[in-house]
Amino acid sequence: MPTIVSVDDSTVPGEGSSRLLLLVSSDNKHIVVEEDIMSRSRFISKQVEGFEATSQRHAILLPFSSFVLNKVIEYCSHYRGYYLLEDDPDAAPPGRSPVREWDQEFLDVDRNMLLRIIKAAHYLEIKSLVGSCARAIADMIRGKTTEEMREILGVENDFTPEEEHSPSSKCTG
Amino acid sequence: MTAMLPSTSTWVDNKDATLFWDGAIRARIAHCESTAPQSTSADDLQALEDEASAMKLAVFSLLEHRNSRVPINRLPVEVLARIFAFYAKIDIPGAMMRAVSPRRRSLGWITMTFVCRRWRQVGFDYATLWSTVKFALGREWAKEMISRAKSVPLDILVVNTLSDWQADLITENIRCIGVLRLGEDVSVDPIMDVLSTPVPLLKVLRIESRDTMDCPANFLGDYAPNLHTLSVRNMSNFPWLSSIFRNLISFRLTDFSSSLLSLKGLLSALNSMVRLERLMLQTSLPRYSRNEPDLTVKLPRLTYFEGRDDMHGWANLLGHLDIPATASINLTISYHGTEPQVNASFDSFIPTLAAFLRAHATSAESMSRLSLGAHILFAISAARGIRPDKTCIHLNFQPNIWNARERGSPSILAARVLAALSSEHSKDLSVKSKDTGWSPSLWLDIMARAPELQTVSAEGQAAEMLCVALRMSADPEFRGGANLGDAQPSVTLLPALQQLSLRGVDFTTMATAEYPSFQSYLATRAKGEMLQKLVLRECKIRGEWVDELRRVVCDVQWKESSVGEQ
Repeated sequence: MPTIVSVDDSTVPGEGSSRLLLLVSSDNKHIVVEEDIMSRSRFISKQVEGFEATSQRHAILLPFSSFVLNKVIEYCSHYRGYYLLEDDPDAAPPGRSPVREWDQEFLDVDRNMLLRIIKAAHYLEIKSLVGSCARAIADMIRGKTTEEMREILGVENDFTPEEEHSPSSKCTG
Repeated sequence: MTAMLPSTSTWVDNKDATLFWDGAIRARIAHCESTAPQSTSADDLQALEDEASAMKLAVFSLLEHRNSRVPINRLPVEVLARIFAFYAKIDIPGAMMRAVSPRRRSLGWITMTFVCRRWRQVGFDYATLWSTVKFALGREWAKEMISRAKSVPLDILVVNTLSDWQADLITENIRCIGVLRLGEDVSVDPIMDVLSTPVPLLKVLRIESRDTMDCPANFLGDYAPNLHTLSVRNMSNFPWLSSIFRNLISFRLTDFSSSLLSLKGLLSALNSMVRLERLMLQTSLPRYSRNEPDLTVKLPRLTYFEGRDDMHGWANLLGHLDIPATASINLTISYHGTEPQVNASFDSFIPTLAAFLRAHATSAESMSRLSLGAHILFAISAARGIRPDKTCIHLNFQPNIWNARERGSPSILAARVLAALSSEHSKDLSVKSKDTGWSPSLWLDIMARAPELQTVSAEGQAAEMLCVALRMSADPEFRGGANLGDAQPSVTLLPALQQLSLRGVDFTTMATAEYPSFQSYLATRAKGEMLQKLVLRECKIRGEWVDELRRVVCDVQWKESSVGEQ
């Protein structure tokens, strides 16, 4: 659950065409952002609805760093006002399903950063960003052997020899 | 086996296997030895083996625990499942791995379930992933996939032969199948019986076997409530009156010979498809209809209508179809026969086609493509893009297929087609032909019937004859001739013309008077409304003539490097 703290009106100017939100990262950086930009996040939208119910201004504390948060804000700013398909993988056609060009550049970060972004996007309920990150990760391991996948993702083989052979004892990989 | 483990920090910090051995393993061995020193009994050996097994398991558990801490495995299950889902779209199981082994096939996305325990668990729990069953991986994998799909409807594609075990799996799971696609090389015989059982989950059925198939008496048990896409080929005893059609959104018939199909049966089936959006009929129309059914089939939701057949088949069907004006229509109409037969058929068919197009393709963009093909001797291959609101007619003649004796016939047929199809709303006409049977009178006939033409393009002899026709239309003495009936004289024949494109015209060898006359036509136009654009491609024309043309046309596009420039 997010932590919500009350803040002074002076901290968050709230009048104008697009209200401002105060987001606080896990490294205690305060980032002011227009509500419109973050409207792609269902999590933020629900928080804002909660604010309206209580007529109080709040800061939203988020469990990830300002670096990750700024990346997410960059994504939301880029697609501000755009309608995006929700990147439903079940609805996507078979074959290569490339990441959008801008997203590809945006997600050209190291593996750990990519994982932090997808986790943050999931927390903030930004489906399109989760989808883009998931595609990027899928592309990262595409066509690789099991050993190569493990190496790329920093995972050790934790199967017993019997388990490793096949998901089903009857099947042969 | 209750010995307490000493702290691991020392050997881990020093990465010293000897320390680990001395600190942990020796302690365990000492513990065992203390209970039964130097014993060789089976029980004591078993105890040591158990100890070793437990330690092995402990290692794997530690690795599993370690894996749970790496970033990728800190992702929520649903996010990891999403990655699986995308990966499953780009790495399909069953592809040949020739680089590895000639007979080995890739497991595709299933490889992910071999990475670690957590990934395997996520993969196993995601039933949808397993529902697309790949027979190429063999029987056991297919059974595994079906089992792991749980209650998700199965998606089965058979491309090549249908083996016994594949047929058995289909038969055993027919009630769980959502999509069943059988390729053109697949004999359906092994599963023929099961096609007469009810299919409560089936949504898509494609049977494309080249062999004639005798449809089971009670096709799909007459119960396929979710069936929305049906594609069948070459099937006898097809149940035209079945209730399985009523929820169809897409319907395709391919290669139904006349003996397999009656117009009445087809119309009955279509009549029950009130939700149909896509209709595709490929060489499947009844050629002859003994008893013409008095039935008009309304398909109010149709958005796409595609077909390929000969004009007899179309003549039988088109008069019975009532489709939305907004439907996209893509028809290919062919004919095989001798010239008299073609002429007779065209005479009876063209009015039917024209009536259909005018009745059902009256809004913009509705006719996306119409191809008319009469192969062998009398080819008319395309009258494309009839969009009556902004009608485009493109005739694309296939060269070199006429018999020299029949020279002229294609153009005559083309003129008939154009005369029937072109309307006062036609705005774009393109004729591509290497045929030499064109004459000015054909063009004059077309121009008289399509007064709203704004762009006209032609090539070869058709283009040359167009120039002559335009010149004739500008002649003060010209009053239309017998072919034109009430057509107005002079340039009013194409009053809306804005762009003219000519390709392959040799102005230098046209009759001496033709170029000046053509120029005078454009000059005459310029007194009223000047032609906006003249495009000359691969035309032989003198440079000074082009300069003259530029005085009477807003924009003349002609490259000095054009073929044969003078």
